[in-house]
Formats: sequence, C-alpha cells, structure tokens
Amino acid sequence: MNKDIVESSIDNDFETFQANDALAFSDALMQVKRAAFADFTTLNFPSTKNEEWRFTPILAISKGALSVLPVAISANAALKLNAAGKEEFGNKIIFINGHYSASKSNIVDEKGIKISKVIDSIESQEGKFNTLSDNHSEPFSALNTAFFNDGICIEILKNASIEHPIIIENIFTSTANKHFIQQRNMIIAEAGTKASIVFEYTVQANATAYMNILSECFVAENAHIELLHDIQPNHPLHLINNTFAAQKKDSTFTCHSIATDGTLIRNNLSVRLEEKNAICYLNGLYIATDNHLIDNHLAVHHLVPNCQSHQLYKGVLKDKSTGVFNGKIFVHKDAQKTNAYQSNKNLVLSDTAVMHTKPQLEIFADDVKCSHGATVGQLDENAKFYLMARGISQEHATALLTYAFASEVTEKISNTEIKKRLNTQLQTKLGYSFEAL
Amino acid sequence: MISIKNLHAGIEEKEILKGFSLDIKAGEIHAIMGPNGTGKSTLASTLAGRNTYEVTAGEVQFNGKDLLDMEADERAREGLFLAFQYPVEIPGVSTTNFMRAAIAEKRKHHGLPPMEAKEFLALMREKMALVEIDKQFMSRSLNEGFSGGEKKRNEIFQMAMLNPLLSILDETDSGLDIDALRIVANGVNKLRTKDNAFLIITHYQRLLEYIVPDFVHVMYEGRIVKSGGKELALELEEKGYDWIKEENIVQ
Ligand SMILES: Nc1ncnc2c1ncn2[C@@H]1O[C@H](COP(=O)(O)OP(=O)(O)O)[C@@H](O)[C@H]1O
Ligand SMILES: [Mg+2]
Repeated sequence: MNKDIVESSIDNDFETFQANDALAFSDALMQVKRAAFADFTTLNFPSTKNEEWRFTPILAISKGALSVLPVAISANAALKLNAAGKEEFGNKIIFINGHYSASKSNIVDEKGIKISKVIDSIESQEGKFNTLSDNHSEPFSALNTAFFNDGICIEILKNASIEHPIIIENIFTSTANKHFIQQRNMIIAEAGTKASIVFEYTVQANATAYMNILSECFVAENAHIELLHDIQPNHPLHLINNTFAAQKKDSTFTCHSIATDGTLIRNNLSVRLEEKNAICYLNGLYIATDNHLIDNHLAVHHLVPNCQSHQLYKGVLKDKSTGVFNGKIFVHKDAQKTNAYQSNKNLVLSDTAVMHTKPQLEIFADDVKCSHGATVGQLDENAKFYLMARGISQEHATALLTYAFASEVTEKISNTEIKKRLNTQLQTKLGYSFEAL
Repeated sequence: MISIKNLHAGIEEKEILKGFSLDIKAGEIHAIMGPNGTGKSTLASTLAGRNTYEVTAGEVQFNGKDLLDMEADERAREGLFLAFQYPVEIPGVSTTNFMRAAIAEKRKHHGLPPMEAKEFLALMREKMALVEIDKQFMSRSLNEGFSGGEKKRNEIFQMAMLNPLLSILDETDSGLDIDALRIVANGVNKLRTKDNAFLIITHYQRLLEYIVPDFVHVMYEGRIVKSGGKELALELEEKGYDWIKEENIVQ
C-alpha cells in the first residue's frame, strides 16, 4: 500500500515535471528522460532483496515522501553563504538546494577551464552524455536521468594543467518540503590535462538533505585527474553518489571517497579502463558513528591489456553504525597483463557496529596479476599499551591510533591544501589534535 | 622510590610472579639477572600496568602512591618508564608526534602549561644527540622498519625526553652491537641523578660493565633468590645459572 503511494507520487512528479515549460528541455533530452523514467518505473527503488542493496536499506528515501521535483528557487534567496563557514580557496562552484549559482561561484583559473550548465552541454558533448551509466539496471541512474534539471559540465581544455582545485560545493538549506535532489554532472578532461576536482556537501543547521548525484567523468589520453568526494556535511545527509569514469590510454584517474559523516551514504563508483596503460587509484575512507550507514560499491572494468587498478578502502565503525564494502573487479578476456589490487581494512570500535565486506573478482583473462584482501578488526592492544606506557590516556591512544590508521588514505591526496584541511578535520572528528598540543 | 612487597601475578591459571619483593631508593641502580622464562618481562610489564597480567597478591608503593591502583598511563605520568624488550611498531604515528603527545599529557597531569614548540624542538635535538639518533627517524613512523638497535636507542631517547623517576630497562642490551651498547649505557649514565633510579633487566653482565649497578639480584621462577653487589654479576657470568637452579631445586 505504502509503496503505491510513493510510486504514484513519483508518477505525478514526472507529469508535473514534463509539463513545466520553464525547464525547457530539448526534444532529444526529453526523449532520454522519458525512457529513463520508464526504466525507473520498472526498477523502482531497490529493497534489501536486491543483492546490490542487501545491507543498505533506503527507506528514508523510498518511503520518506520526498519530492523529486526541483526545489523552488525562491527558497535560496535568503541564504547567507559565509554561514557555511568553509574557508575559501580554489575554484568554487556553488549549488544551493541543487541549483547552480553562477553569482556565488568563482573560477580563479580561467585559462584551461570551461564551465557550463550540463543541460547546455549535452548537444556539444553528444556521444558522452548518459553513456557510462546503465539506466536499465541502476535505479538511481534511471531516476537521476529522468529528473535532473541542473548540474555542471566542467571541461578541462587540452593540455591545461589546473593549478587550484575545482571545488563543487552543494549547500542544503532547510526547505518547506522534503526534496530528493537529482543532480547531473559531466567532467571532461581533454588530452594531456591535469586537475583536482572536489565535491563537498554542506547541510545547514535544521536542514536534512537528500541527494542523488550522478557524475560522468571522461579522462582522455594522458590526462591525470584526481577526484575527491569530501563528505562531512555535519547535519543529516542521505546521499546516493554515483560516479562513472572512462579512461583512455596513458591516463590516470584517482578517486578519493572520504566520508566521515552523513546519515546514509552510498557511493557507487564505476571505472572503465578502455585503452592501454590506463591506471586508476580508488581510495576510500569512511568513519561512521551513531546509527549511520556508509556503503561503498565499486566496479572496475579492465577492458584492454596493460592497465592497472588499485583500491585501498579503510573504515572505522563506531556506535551502532554499519559499513558496507563491495569491490568488483572485472577482467575481460582481452585484458591480459592486467594488474589489479584491492584492499579493504576495517576497525570496528564498538560491539554494536557492523561491517560487511565483500570482494568480487571476475577474471576472464589468464595473464593477470590480481590480489585482494579484507580485514575487520580492533585496534592493536600492544600498540595501545605502548602509547599508554608513555603517559598517553586510553582515549587519546585510541584516537591517535585511529588517526594513524585513517590517515593512510588522506595521505594519498596529492593536493597539499586539501590534504592538510582534511587531516585537520579528521583529527577534530577523532577528538585529537596534534596542533593543539 | 619503589617498594614491591610479595607480588604475585600471572595470566589466567598460571602464576608467573610468585612473591617478588624489592625496594629501590632514589639514586640507586639495580640489576636483575636470571634465566629465560623466569618472569623478568612479566615483572616489568606488571609494574608498567599491562592488563594482561592479573595481580593476585602483594603491594607496590611508588613515590608514596599505590602503584597498582593506577592505570598504565597514570603510572607513566607519575614517573615510571618501561623501555620495552620488544618495542612496538606503530605505522602512521611519528616519533615526534608521539613524544609531543606524551609530554603534553605528562605536563598537564602535573599542572604545567604546554611546552613551547621551540623548547620542545630544542629538547628533541638535545636528546637525539645523546643517543646519536639521526633526525630523519623522528618523522618516520614509530619503530617501523627500524633495526633492533635503532628501536632500543629510540627507547632510551624516549626515556631521556620524559625524564622519569624510575626507569625499567627490559633487556635493552640484547641484540645490540658494542657501539649501540655504549650509546645506551652512556644515555643512562648521563641521565642518572640522585633523584631518579634504574632497574636494569639483563641477561648478560656485559651491559653492567658500562652501567655499574649498586645491587644485583638473581631472579628465578618468579622471585628474587639471591642479591648482592656488582660482583654477583661476574660470578653469574662465570658459573652460569645452573647452580642457582640446583640450589633452588634442593630447597
Ligand atoms: N602473555 C603471556 N601469555 C602466556 N604466557 C606468558 C605470557 N607472558 C609470559 N608468559 C610465560 O610466563 C613465563 C615468564 O615469561 P617472561 O616474563 O617473558 O620471562 P623472561 O622475561 O624472564 O624471559 C614464561 O613461561 C612465559 O611463557
Ligand atoms: Mg624477557
């Protein structure tokens, strides 16, 4: 019964959405959206009976009576940006309740970057838009494609090396109705480029945010792209974060998925290694507290010979939190000389926290180097005693060792500004600060 | 400084310390020698507060306080130091940050303000020179990939930084070459004052040529079976431990 209500509400939403002249989608896009909506109607929100969602109930989203329509823009007028309190550096792209705000955004590295609204780039990027996700099997890709009306297309122009990070900040304010915001982005890194791109989330006090974000990332020949998902919203955030990347030859794609806060976080990350000598580094850190859930689902597709993929995911689970890691590696039959590595290490710091970890390797080539390992454990008692034997309290010893465990991931961030900020935040999160000593 | 009376401790059903007693006064250096497996490390760990060992009887007064009543961290802040027989490798924590944390907590415990950064660095430099450790070790992960000798020197470095009242050195000399041994001994001798004390657990009398003890005790099966001056170490070196074992079996 309940399910019918939700479905019909989404049906109504799509009717309303189609009828809204102000949105002005091209006919071609509207066709894509209709097909995606049909896909979503077939798939529906996944339940825990769906193997891909087994440990991740999304009732807060599916039964939350959320609207998938855009938030009324007038809700943004009152926003005072600095209230968000993030220090300013780099190129800033600001979204408020899902709407791109050109006036509040600020691009400092003008040479080499082209920024446009995703809706305006679909035609010029034909053959790219909506090619990496699969609306037939991925409910949130289908939902996103059907309902997105905003998002950004970032083009890094040929051979450009972008000095400062490009920071995409999604700010959520409290709104009259609850919205499940659908955002669609494209990152197009042309040949020979180098850039760091950061996604941040700020949820203001009294707000609860729901977002389904999908970013397609095209990494051309010899491009070196670093992506950081910096998820520490400080207030309730339910985030389905879908990232798809496709890599051409001699490129590197590095993705750090850092989540140290959030009520429900699901990172879907999928990388296609499409041409030889492409390398991807997928790093993740999740620190879950309370009854929060952080889920990382990864898929790496080795399609051609001589590519490498490296996954390092580390988790800290406290209180009644749940962590999920599912790492798929597909080595297709032509992908000889593949080097694929996966490691997932977890610290479970309370009796009531749980971690579900599962590697999933499907290898159809024979000349392959592939290794994987997963651990779920507690802090090393010997290490703790060693610290305490020098006068460090149990609480601080725990924090210090947890920081040491977690910072292996943040240390891999190449941009020093961002790394420093993250490490400081991490220390604060763990209740321990070297600087404050 | 410390007064250990009839200490019994062990794990689960197994008693390892069986009535260990010893008094150490400020300014003294005591050495404990004894065969392997006799409980020397258990004594050191129990005094330092490792929870693995359960104390079943006895009492320990340290600097006027009930030592057994305190957790490991508090014992350390009160001035007890254990140089580990097997120092632990701690990836991701540098020696510098480790020492900064340890000193900060000790000062706080004694009601002192945090040490100025400049003062801290000067102290680090002075103590690194004392144990001849290169400064590149300070930013590396604690003990990770250090050689046996480097780990032991790092223990003495930490001791020097924390300036404890009572230092227990658990086989700090084993596995050291003669140069490292000299450095460790020199460290102890330089740190020695009339107000602090040392308990040196060793297997060989070699170290005691460099650090001259006031008293030597022989430990066997969980307690002291013989005590004497520094000449007892030489006697043990000559005769080995068999005569001690025999004497005690006869009893
Ligand atoms: N944590 C422990 N678990 C089990 N046995 C232990 C443990 N610690 C010490 N023992 C046992 O207690 C005895 C004394 O050990 P130890 O104190 O290390 O002796 P020593 O340092 O004199 O060589 C040995 O038989 C050893 O195996
Ligand atoms: Mg021992």
